[in-house]
This record gives sequence, structure tokens and C-alpha cells, in this order.
Amino acid sequence: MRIKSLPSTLRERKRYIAFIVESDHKISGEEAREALLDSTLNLLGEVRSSRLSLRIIKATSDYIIVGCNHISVEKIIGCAALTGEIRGKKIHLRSLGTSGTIKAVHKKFLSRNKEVIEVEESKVIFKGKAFTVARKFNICLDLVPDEEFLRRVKKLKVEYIGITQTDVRGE
Amino acid sequence: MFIDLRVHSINSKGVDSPSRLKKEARDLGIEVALCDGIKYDDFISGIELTARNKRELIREIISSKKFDIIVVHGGRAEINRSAVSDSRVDVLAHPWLGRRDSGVDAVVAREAADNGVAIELCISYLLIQHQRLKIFSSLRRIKKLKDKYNFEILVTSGAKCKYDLRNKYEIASILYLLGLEEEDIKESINLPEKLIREKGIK
Repeated sequence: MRIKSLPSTLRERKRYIAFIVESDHKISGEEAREALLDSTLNLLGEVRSSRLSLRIIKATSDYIIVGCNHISVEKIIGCAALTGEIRGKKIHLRSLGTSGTIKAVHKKFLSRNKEVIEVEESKVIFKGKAFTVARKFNICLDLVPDEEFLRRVKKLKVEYIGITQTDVRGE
Repeated sequence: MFIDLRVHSINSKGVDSPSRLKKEARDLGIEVALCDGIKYDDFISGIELTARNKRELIREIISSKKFDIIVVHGGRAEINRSAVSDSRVDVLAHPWLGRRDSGVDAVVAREAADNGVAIELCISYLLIQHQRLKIFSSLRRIKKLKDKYNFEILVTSGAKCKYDLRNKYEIASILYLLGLEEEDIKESINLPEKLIREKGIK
């Protein structure tokens, strides 16, 4: 038998926050969820985290929808903003906005598709050297690093060098 | 608008080109100043000075006149104190770096207030979990000194790649988590713009 829900006067006011998952690496939904929960638990601890009424509604490789009570929105955005890496991969959970229903979150923030076009093989000249293009979207190009930048890229836990088409034209 | 005053591009320690950082910043609704030690025409240009002693620091400050923003790489007690004693310096970055304490004492705080040198709070160090505890406790001490001596705390991302950039609301949320009051948060976010306006860069 299900227990009765709380009277409406005692229920918490709910908010839903949409986060977009940004990374050079392929991040699974499970990793994105882990990154957010890890950051929240590490930063606030178990007792203060329990006061957020935090629940992850949906976590995919592109976005996360998080539910919480109306007084904890700022704290959760702050915790997500301090998510730096997960399993040695650089990750950023960027908050898109807050809404009162899951339907509105989808409609307001997640209706646009992520524009990533994979490029098979093409070379560009940047800083007088030839680089292979790994990803391309709008005017942005992600390049596979050469030996000179490989150490720097590894240290920062990213995968590519980010440039725009104006950099290529300028050469 | 929030201006991020310490961002590194591929020309110094970063992995993204200046134009890519500019595009990413525009998408986030912020502006970036590149701290590469290179004078750009279309960016606010800054330099991060690293010195071993006071003499070397003064020499470097004199040779960096052409830059809009002068940031001093803090950490050593001598450098922290020398940096805040010079009004040509704009920002003292991470005074706690490599130290057990916060690197800011009453003398540093008073000098920073007198010479208009801002003490930096860098978000990129907060992304590394084992450093958070130390920075939080340092910040608490710095906050106490700020209330007494009234120097400025400048928030920057210290970004070396596009994923380290944070928008205005994210920074406000982080500062809220750190326990800053609403007025202090507003002041910290508006400070870079005020600094740029006072220097007559834009």
C-alpha cells in the first residue's frame, strides 16, 4: 500500500535546473551524474547535501536535469560550477537555467540540438604548422595537438586545441 | 558585464587561441582579458609577473608599462609584500600558493588598501579538490582582513582552457557557497569593470 503524499501546505516547492555537459572527451550520462554528485558531496558534506532535496531526473552525455527545492538552486549551481574533472577527463557542467516543471525545462533550454559535426580527416595550418582537425562546429575547430602541445593538453586534461576559422585565415 | 581579468591563451600556458576564447566568452556573456604577456590590439592585455625577489619584481614592473593589467604571481612572503606596496601593480594573484598560511597579513592588507592593489580569488584552483580546503580557510582569513582594512577581492577564473571559464551567475553562486554576503558578491563581480574604467582602457 502506498503512503499518502504530504498535504499541499507542507510540500516543498520544486525547481528543476538544466545543465549542459561540456567536454573534449566522450562523457557518459553515468559519469556526468557522478561528477555532479561527487562535487556536491565533497563541497557540502552529507548533512548539508541532504537539505537540498537533490535528485537527478535525467543524465545523458549532453545534458543533466536536476530537481531540488526552491531555496537550494544557488547552491547546486555553485557545486556544478566547481566540477572540474571526472576520472581524469576535463568536464564543465554549465547551467542553462531554472524552471518550475520538467516540461518547461525541455521547452526553454533543451530544445536546441548540440551542433557537433565530426570531421573525418582534414588539415589546417595554424602557427605555421599543419594540424589535423578533429571536430568542427560553426566557426570553431578542434585540432589534434602535436608534440609541442601534447604535454600541455595532457596536464590540463583536455584532448584538443581550440581555434576558430579566423586563426586559420590569418596565417 | 563581468570581465575575467586572468585568462591564458595558447600563447602562454593555455590550449585555446585568443579568438576561440573570445567566442566562448561571448557565448557565456562575459568578456576576457588575456594575461599572456603579449600586447593585443583587440583584447585587454595583461602580464603575469614572476619574480624571485623585490629588486627583480620592480625591474619587471618597470618593463611592463605597456600592459593594461599587471598581475603579480604571489606566494612568497617577500613578493606578496612588495607587490602590494607598488601602486603600479593591479592584482596580487594567489598569495597563498605554496604556503601553509593565507599569505595575507595585516601589513599586506593595509598596503593593498592604500595602493589600490586587489587580492585575487582564482576559481581554477577551486576546481582541484584537494586544494579547496586550504583556499576556503585562506579566504576566511582574507575576508576578516578585508572587513577591517577594506581592500578589494578580485574574482578571476585563471582559465587555461575554455572549460575553465565561468559566467557571472556561476561565479555569484560560488561566492555564495563560500559564505560571502550579497553586497560583497555584487562588488566582486563589478570590480573588474570598475578597474578597467578607472584605468581608462575602454
